[in-house]
Amino acid sequence: MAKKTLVVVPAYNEERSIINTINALNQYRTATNNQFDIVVVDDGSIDRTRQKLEENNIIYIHHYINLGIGRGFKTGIEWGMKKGYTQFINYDADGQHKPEFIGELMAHATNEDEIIIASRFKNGSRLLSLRHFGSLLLEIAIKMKTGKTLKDPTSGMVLFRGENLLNDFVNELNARPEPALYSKFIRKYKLIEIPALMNDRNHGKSYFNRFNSIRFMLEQFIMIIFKY
Amino acid sequence: MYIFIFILLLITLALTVSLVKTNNVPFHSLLSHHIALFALFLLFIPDALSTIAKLLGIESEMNALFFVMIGYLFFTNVTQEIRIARIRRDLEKLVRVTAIKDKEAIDKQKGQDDNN
Repeated sequence: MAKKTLVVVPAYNEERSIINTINALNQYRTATNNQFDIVVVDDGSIDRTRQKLEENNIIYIHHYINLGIGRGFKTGIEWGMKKGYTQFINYDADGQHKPEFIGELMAHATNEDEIIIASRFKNGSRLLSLRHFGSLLLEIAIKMKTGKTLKDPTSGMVLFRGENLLNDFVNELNARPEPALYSKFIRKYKLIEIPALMNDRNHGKSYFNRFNSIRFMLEQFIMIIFKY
Repeated sequence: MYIFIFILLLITLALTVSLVKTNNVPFHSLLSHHIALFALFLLFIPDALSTIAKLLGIESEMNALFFVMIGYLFFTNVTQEIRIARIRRDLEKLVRVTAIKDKEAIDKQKGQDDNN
């Protein structure tokens, strides 16, 4: 079956960076002749994100309210599956991800049900920061629970493919592309990491302030150990 | 002492009214919750509590009564949490389904416009 790729770009209040992000993706696609389509999921933005998308004729899906990180990817997958896409890449709207790694992700995709993660720590080392420490903690939790190593469980740039995996993901309540879900899927499906580099955030404010980072890490840690 | 009781009663009532107004719920739905809360507030003034208990003739049952009240508050808390989680899931599903349906309607409309 031919691989048809959809890059899903969930966006919440990204009026300052969304157009640059989409332009970078389009330029990369033209330059490399990689075959993929792009859809933005506006996750209930209260700034001018939606107007910007309209003005620039960008294909988008609109959530009436903000559903939070990850749900946009799920909506994109659900819509894409109806349109016949077979593999999906989650791509941040804030300019942190580099388009060239889309090609890398696509090149590593086989015909199996699989998750491919663009990993910052596959070949690189962690920094001395609270977020990176949390990521290490989750790596240890996944290792303890599944016996498998996942160096960058919090990476947002990820490829999902395969009918079973996609159906599992869409039908699983509260499923988001996050460490706890990987911990569950890693036992059932193929999950690989490829080395990647990421930029700093261009504009706007990250959802993950100090408080949210700690809460997210703790929540994920508990879910990995006790739920999945 | 009675002034303190009166102030506590006012605080409880104010809490009830504010929650009723903000959440647009009927007054009686929160009343039992706030009676229990008021009774727990009274724990801050043991003298007042023992006077009321004596008046009501339930001095020896007070401990049991308070355990039941705390239990009741925990129970309502858990049931509300479960209800909220379910409503959030339903809402999430509704928003996502609506978003996809809207998108399909726009695509269909565009297709028709292109044909015309």
